[in-house]
Amino acid sequence: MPRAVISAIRKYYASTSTLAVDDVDFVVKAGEIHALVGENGAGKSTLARILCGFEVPDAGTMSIRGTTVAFLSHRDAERAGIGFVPQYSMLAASLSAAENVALGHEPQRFGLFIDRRRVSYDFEMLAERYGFSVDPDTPVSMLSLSERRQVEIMRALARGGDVLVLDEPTSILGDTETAALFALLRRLKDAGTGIVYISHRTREILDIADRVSVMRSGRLVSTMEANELDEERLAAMIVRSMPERQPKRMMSDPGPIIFKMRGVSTRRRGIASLVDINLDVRAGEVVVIVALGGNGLDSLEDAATGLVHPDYGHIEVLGRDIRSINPLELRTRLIAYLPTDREARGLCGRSSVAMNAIAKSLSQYGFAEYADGRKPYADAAVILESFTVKHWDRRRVDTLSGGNRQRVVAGRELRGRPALVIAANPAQGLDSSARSMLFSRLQEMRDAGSAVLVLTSDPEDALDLADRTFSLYRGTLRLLERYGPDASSLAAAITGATP
Amino acid sequence: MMRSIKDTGDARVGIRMVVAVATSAALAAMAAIVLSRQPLVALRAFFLAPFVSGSSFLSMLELSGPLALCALGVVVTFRAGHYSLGGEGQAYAGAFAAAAVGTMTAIPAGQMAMVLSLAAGLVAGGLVAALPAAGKRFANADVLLTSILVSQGMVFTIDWAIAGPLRDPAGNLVAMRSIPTSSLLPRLLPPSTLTLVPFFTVALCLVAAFYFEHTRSGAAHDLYGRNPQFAQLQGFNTRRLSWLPIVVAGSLHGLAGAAMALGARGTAIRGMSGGIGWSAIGAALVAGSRPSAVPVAALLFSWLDSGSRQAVVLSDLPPDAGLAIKAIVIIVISARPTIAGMRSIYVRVLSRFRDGHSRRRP
Repeated sequence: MPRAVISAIRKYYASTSTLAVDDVDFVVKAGEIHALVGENGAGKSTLARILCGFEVPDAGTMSIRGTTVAFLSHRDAERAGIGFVPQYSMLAASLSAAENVALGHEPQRFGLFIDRRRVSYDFEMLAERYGFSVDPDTPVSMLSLSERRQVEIMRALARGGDVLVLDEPTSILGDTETAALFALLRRLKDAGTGIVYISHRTREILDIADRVSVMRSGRLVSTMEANELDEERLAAMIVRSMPERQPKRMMSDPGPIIFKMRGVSTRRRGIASLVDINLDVRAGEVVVIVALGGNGLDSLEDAATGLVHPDYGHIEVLGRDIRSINPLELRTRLIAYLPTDREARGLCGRSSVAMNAIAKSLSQYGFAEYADGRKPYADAAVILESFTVKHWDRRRVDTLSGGNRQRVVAGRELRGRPALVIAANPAQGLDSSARSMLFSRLQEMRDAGSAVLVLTSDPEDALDLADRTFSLYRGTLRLLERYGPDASSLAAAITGATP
Repeated sequence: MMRSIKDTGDARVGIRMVVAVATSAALAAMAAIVLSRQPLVALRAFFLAPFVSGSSFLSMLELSGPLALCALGVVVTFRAGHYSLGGEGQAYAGAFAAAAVGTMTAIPAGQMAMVLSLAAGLVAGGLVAALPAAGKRFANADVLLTSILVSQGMVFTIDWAIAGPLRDPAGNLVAMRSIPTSSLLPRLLPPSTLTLVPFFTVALCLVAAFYFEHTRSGAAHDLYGRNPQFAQLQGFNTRRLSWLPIVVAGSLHGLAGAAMALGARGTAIRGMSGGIGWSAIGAALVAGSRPSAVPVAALLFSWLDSGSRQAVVLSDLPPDAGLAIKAIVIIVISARPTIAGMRSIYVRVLSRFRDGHSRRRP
């Protein structure tokens, strides 16, 4: 009998008008590792969250061990035997491993006191049953990443653990820790646990999974035995098919180097997120770096914009160390920046649309000019109308739709002629016409002599925009094609399917 | 309609004022009925006594001046996203410094001594605020915690100094020596205690309103308060905004303390700040962090103070009734975000059902 059966599940988010999961059937058998794969935004995390009780579906049914269930919270799912291991550690660092496993479900004496002897006993029983090797009394802060991952899994198993859902479990692990995790997962599988393994890493999936289900745009498009797949085929399944484009032509003389990274390495949450990055972006070219989630794209965005200084290496803009440049000059004259997180970085939600549009140019107004207000208002109108934002007068920016908010950011940033444009996931949330408008503007800026660096999780951005394309996989940058890659080599590179 | 790049403005400031006045009036009436054996006398004293004579009204107006200065300081910090709770100690330090300078024998009594005393208050308040400001600037320390710790430490230290080495041995009050009359702020309409402070404060609030609404620095100040990372990415000097508003607010509190010492009190008296820091936060909340609304909100709180004091004197209303009413008004006004939060949950739940998706529960 299958451990979990999901039938015709559907989840719609009205706030973002997104159909995240659309009529999905999904089965987890006992003693199997079932990989759930797909691009960012394919719906796999939402499906996992529904299975774990974090989200309530709009339609569909679920059964665990043949019993129909309705989860209204994660606690309901835990009671039904479903454990969840999040991508990033959610352990209490100051508590011991055993205390973390018992946290929230502590055995009690006389209904008042925590039964510490029982906490240790339960931990040791669990460790013995599944073959974990973590010292119960060591504080989590003293444990290695691999041991912390084991504690997370023990936490999930302690609540039942008929089905274990792991969300990108290797994203913070190195090769040695990954091998140890896989050995553990195989032992759990042999013990009969059904495991849902979410990842985009093709090699790992083929190494560990028994079956693979692929999600795309909220739908489950295929479920196959893992041994019927090879890396290339799996990569092509994960990344949606893209129409072939004419190869792009790079300008014959792209101009001087505007942006330079040399030997840039960073660590995030204790592991390397960027590894020895060397990159030049010249005036008059568009460089696109493509990576799926968890491969260091966010670290690269932070480093390239000067928001976070790398642990090693240096970054230059127009030959000057980025740290030595006055912030006002850097932000207003040298770099135009479209951030991935537009709510936190790109916009000031409680301020007006007009203020958001002209915020970067405030220093350009004289005292009387700003106090009078007419010139700033007229400038805001020009910026907003250039990206067809309507009905903006005297409105707060957080009352606009997601697409219009991105237009406000683009209108403000893609103005004038900055030396460097850094656009991170620029088309996220835009409809096709807004996307074309934005890409045309980026190309115009390239043609006018700006250096354009696009950091994206969407491979289509590279096909549409790039003069040069790089993949970023596990923090390592790799040049794909000088004049634009083909879709299959791009898919393979970003999923780690090629060496 | 005038075109503006600013927000549409918080149209609820007016509503908030009405709610504050109505809540205060209702609570005062309730307190009089429940706590007093002479409810009519208490009610009359509470509501009407501050207005029955010109002198009472003008004294109430004078009371509102320092409070409005403090509330303006609170607005300056709140709009920069800093939640400083150290106003009490800053105002007390201002009063103490003003009294210390005003009673120095080396400085001849007169207008120069008055100006120097005011300046001392301004500097003292700023210095007390400089500690949490430095903590924020250099260690990103939580201003809410550091400001209250420093303020409380300052209150204890000044209490000790006034009651100990600096106490006027000739007086019955636990206070420093009296500042010479010629060094005090001139009274405009004796016998009321009214000085120029309330009018100066109104002018300062208008300047602050202009700063926030019509200057680039004011816009940067607001943007930093709402989203510091966004402000940083627009190239604003976020380092300065991380500490300067805290010090400016401290100076305003210090100036308010100096105005009290050089006004009705005539010196620094132990415990004279008497909750002005908390009342200022209440007034700033009632004013919706709009400087132009601060004088009116401060007047409301002065009325609560004067009314409750009169009611205590003229009836058997307990002395703490006024404090309790003020506290409840602050709770009612600051409950606004909670009400907004509940409304948003309600709207979300409603929209889920309105979306019309079948909700076949598994």
